[in-house]
Amino acid sequence: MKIKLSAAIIACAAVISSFPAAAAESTIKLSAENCLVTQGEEVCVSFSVSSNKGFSGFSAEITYDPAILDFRSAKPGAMLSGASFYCTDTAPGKLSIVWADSKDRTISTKLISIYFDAVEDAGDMTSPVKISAIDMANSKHERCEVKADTPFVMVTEDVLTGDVDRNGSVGLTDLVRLCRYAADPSDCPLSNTAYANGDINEDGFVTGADCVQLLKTVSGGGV
Amino acid sequence: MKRFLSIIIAVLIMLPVMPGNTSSASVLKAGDDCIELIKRCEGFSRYKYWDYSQWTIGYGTYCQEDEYPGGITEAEADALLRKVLVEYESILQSFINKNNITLSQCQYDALVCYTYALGSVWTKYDEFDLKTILINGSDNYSFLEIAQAFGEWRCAGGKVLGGLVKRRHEETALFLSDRTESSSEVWRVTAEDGLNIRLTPSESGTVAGKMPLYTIFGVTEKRVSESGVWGKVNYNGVTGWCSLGYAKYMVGGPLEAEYDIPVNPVDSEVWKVTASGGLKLRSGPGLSYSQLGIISCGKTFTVTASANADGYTWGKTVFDGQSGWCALNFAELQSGTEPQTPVLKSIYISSQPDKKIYLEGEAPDMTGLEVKGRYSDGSEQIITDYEISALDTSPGTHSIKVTFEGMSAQFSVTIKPKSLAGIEIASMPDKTDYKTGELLDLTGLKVNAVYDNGAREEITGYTYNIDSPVSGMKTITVSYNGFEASFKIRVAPKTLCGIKVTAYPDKTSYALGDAFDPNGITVYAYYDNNSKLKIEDYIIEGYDPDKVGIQSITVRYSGYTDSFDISVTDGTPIYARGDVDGNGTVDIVDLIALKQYLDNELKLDTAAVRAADADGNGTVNQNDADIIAELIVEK
Repeated sequence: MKIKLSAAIIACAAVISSFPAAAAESTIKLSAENCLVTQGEEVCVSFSVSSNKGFSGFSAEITYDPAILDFRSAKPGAMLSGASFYCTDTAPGKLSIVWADSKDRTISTKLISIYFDAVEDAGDMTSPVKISAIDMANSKHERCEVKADTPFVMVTEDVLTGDVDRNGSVGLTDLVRLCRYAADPSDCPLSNTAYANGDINEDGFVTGADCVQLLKTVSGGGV
Repeated sequence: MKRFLSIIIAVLIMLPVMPGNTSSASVLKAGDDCIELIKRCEGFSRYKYWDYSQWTIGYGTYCQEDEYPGGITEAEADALLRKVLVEYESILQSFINKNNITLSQCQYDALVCYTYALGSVWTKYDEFDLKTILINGSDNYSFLEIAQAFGEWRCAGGKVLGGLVKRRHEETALFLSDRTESSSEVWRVTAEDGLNIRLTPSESGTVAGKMPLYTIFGVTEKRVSESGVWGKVNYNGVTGWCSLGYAKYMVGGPLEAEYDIPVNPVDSEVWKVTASGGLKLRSGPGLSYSQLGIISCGKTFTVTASANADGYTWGKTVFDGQSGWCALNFAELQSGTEPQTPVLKSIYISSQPDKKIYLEGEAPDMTGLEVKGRYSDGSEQIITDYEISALDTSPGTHSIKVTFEGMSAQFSVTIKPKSLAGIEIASMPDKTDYKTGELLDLTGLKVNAVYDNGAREEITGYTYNIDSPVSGMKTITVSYNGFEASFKIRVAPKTLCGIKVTAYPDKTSYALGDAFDPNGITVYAYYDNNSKLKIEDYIIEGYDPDKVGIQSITVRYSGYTDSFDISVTDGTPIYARGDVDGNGTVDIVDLIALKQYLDNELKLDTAAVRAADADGNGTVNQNDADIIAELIVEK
């Protein structure tokens, strides 16, 4: 089961956001979402552009943990169509991407999607997917300032909905643990798998709503 | 008439005195008793052995080291003994003739045996009491005095030897065998710590003196007490009583001990012990008398008197040299004749071991060794439960002593030092397959030294060399103290796996028409054995002196290539390949510029166009864009 999370509090890894409190208007933003993936399955990390004042080309490096993720492929977003896109895995855990055209692209949409396979034994492990060494310029050969998110790919073991304490069954202890996390995540940190198991309603968040759902299950209802 | 009488008187004067059983020295010869005594005392050794200061063989006969390499038979040893005895008889005869001594046959035999052991020394020095006794006439001396004179010389190598004590005992007994002395008995102390002389014949008697081990003393009276038989002695001026349980009877007497019960003489009855645990020999007829020994079950003994006490019938007997009483209730009357109870007299090496010569380090091998015992009845028996002394394993000739019931015999073996006979490769090194240029690794190699005794031991101080360093089957020769051994390794040729230009030529900027100058270029070839080699015989291609721009120069060697860039200018600026904007780096702006140029949205000057022509084919197209993208990625 693959669960996609929006920018939410992650139990085991700190989210490093590259967004300054108030970015300048000339700064192009590259954003990406954290991903939750079951070990052995495919995950896609996409970078999207916002505040795009226009660029004609860019080069960058993307790094990830090769012990957790296997690189499969990289696809340019629609906004880059019509020009050559180059992606090379120059070293384990390192990709180099280059794209250029003669005219500026000004839309703000998906820039690039990178496809990984979560390594089979990487359950409860987390890998950042960092884009760096960004060199972006416009048709006037002027450099663009770029700020980029660093998304995290969180790999889980096989998910058992409701089994927050990972004991192989769903019961009262799972409910207690889930409620404690929902009240204060720092009081009861959850692993990737426990978090995925705790997202009862599969909305990408672990909240009181999931506690209510689990209560129904524990007290007699099904999941 | 007067003349006739004178002649008769002269003849009478000249005739020597001829007593009944004595003879002058010129008539006496060593008899069978002498030969048997010598054989019994010396024992028989088939092979020569080192006897303190000389080589000895047979019946104690001296020999040279190189004589009798194959040993000697008993018959040969007997003949040799009789031959050698002539010399010793000559010594004795010279002495007794000189001192006008008259001897009986048994006295002569005893003295021949004595002289065979001591040589002529005792006849020359007054320190030998026996010399004085003989000169003064042995009849004038008591058994004790004669026994003490014989017993004086019982040491060898500075130590009192039990064997010599026993030999002097037998020589004394033979010397006195034709005399009787009932007024005293001669005994010898057998207690290790010596024998106390007490004022009364009792263990509670006051100790007045002490006689050391082997002391020969005379007993003039005997008494029986609760602690056994006591003899009256006089030693070093002290008169008292000693317990005869700690002494051995030699000659003279015997004196009868006084008992408080009737003792009846018996006419030599032979009895046989029936008690499974043996029959005790006591110092008197009664349970209160001390034990002197045990007669084993099945052994026979002769009873010469009897008495009744404590509910048993007691028989008086002499067993193993000791006079005592046994309870006849535990024995069976056999006959009236006196049997001979065989007593072990000596042991000898009847057959030497097959292996007499060893190499250093070899274990002793006693295969073939046979030891026999000679008994008092003349019989001989093979002995198997003897003890053997440890073998000295150092090089040289060493005696090995065989011991049984306090008696011993010897034989010798020779240990030869081991010598190096060769070396061998005991274990190959772990690595035997190499690539050319690899260092030799002898980890795991073991080399043994092989000695002439077959022993092997690992050595480390060897040297080695290899026949040649080039590829193929190679021989490694190991040398040690003049010996060699070898083994082979396989050296495979190394394989070229690439080349690299490690230093560019000094000149990389040319003007149109300039000839290419390769000076300064350095190229290395790399091999699969992780080695590299600077090469000179490469080929350089790709330079066109008439073409302006960046040119990729290729270095080619054995199918492998590497390349570097040079520039040829016609005076206009030359940008690096891909550096379209000429800012010194190839980056995204250069690619954007190229794209714009291709889309006719940007004009480029000559230098920029040259830089944009990344593949150098004179045309700027998408292929050049791809190359520049690669250059950006590789940066």
